[in-house]
Amino acid sequence: MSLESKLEAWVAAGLIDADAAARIRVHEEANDRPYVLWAIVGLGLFALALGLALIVAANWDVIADWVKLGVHLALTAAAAAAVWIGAARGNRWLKEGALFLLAALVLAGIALHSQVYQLTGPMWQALVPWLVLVTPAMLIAGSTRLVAYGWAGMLLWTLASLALENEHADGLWYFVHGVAIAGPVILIGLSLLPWRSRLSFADGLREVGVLIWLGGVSFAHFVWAGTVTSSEAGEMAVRLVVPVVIAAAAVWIGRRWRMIPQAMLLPIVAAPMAALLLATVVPHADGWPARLVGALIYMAMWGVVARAAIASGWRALFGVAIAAVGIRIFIIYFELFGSLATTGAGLIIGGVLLIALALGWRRVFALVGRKRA
Amino acid sequence: MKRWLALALLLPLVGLVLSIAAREAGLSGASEWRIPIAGFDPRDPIRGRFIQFRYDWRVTGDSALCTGAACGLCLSEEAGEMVATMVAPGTACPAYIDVNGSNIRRLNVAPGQVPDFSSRIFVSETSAPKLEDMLRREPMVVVAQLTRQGRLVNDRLEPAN
Repeated sequence: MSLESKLEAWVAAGLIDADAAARIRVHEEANDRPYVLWAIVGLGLFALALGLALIVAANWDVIADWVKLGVHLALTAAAAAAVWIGAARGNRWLKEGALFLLAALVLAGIALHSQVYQLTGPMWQALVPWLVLVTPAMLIAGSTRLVAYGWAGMLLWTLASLALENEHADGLWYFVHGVAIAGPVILIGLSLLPWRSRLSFADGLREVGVLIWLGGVSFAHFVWAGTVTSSEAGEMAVRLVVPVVIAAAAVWIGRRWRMIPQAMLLPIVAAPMAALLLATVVPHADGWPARLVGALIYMAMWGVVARAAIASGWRALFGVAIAAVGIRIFIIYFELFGSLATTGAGLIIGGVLLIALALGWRRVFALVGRKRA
Repeated sequence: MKRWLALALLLPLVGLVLSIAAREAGLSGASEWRIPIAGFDPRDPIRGRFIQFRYDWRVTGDSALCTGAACGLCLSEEAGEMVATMVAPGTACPAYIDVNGSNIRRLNVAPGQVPDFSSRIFVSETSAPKLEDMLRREPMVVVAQLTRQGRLVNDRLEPAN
């Protein structure tokens, strides 16, 4: 329902008068943010960044190495200068656009150095320097979702690349694997710091973090459909020390600065952490009991998220949570815990239970509403 | 805040310039080697086309020295044939290659087997198909610079004869 339709409905219902509706309209128009424009500009800058990467990747023979390196350095310096000028003049468009381009140019530059000096190492050896060189500027100057999405995406790519290209390494590498698993929680934790006038940037970090954390743990719960030996569980327990510490830090930050509703903190940080721990550090054999437990834990996690989301007014996340539970129920149909008959009976009982829960929940809300009134 | 932003914006430039300086310093005084190879041509998402190849040299020495985290090769030429002798990391020899430092991959790492060694070289989009075709048709060598720190830097591919 659009704002205009809502205002008309409220005036018709006698909740507000026409003057109040007009004042609300003026206020909303004054605070309107050009999301569509930002989205199109963002897509344009993304295309520009990919184009830059491909032009460098073509590795043209006809241009001397020193010319390529020199032109690239000049472009990078120009982008850095544009960020500075944008920040000094308070021109948000210039600053954010130039910051995005600066980040793309640094990545293209690292690729160029790899070509010129034949740095043939794995991908993470190119991505880690990018993160080190660009992160300070992104965190100090970034103020929109555009930059937040870009940096968050690159952080997760870097951590995933670092862990996956060294997945068989052990010892201290287990802690690196842990940092990679905790990547989305790092984003959530960062977003809970007091960003003052840069709330859009913090929102962007948190949106990516919550999406990947909940989505990643949802995929990881399929571990219940396989066998986890005691030694595998032990190795995962070591790997998950870092994510547990980071999750605890994120919850502490969330409680300290209260940037989001307190009811959301544990459901988006701790509940997925607990679900991941149960799926990976509890040894189990493949079989229908383990699968059923996995499905129930998955639904419990999303149920907790849905409950907190509706209580906090995060309606989009509530919708996602309900859809996630629905998808899992549908997967049970194909998964078959036992025979066709037992799975069918289980689904019927589960369905009836869900309907009863929903009706009971509605009744509880109605009672609470009546008491408040 | 302005000072921190200025420093943050200078960081990428300083990092890129230092990267160039470090590579140039590493290559100064490097010796040039022509090593026979066999290979093919895939693509990297940000660094473009490259030729993946196996060094076609004779591998000798104790393979137990080359199974751990570190591995060294001593490069030599015997009667026109390239020989790579597996040695303990840091062994003094006229042409020492730090395998891990050069990002050379070991193949056949099972105990008791003589390992093969592979590497790659980034090439231009236009020359990649031609080089791939040449690799299939005729013996090729990689011309590589061996730095004093033991890093083998592939420079170009060319016909062996």
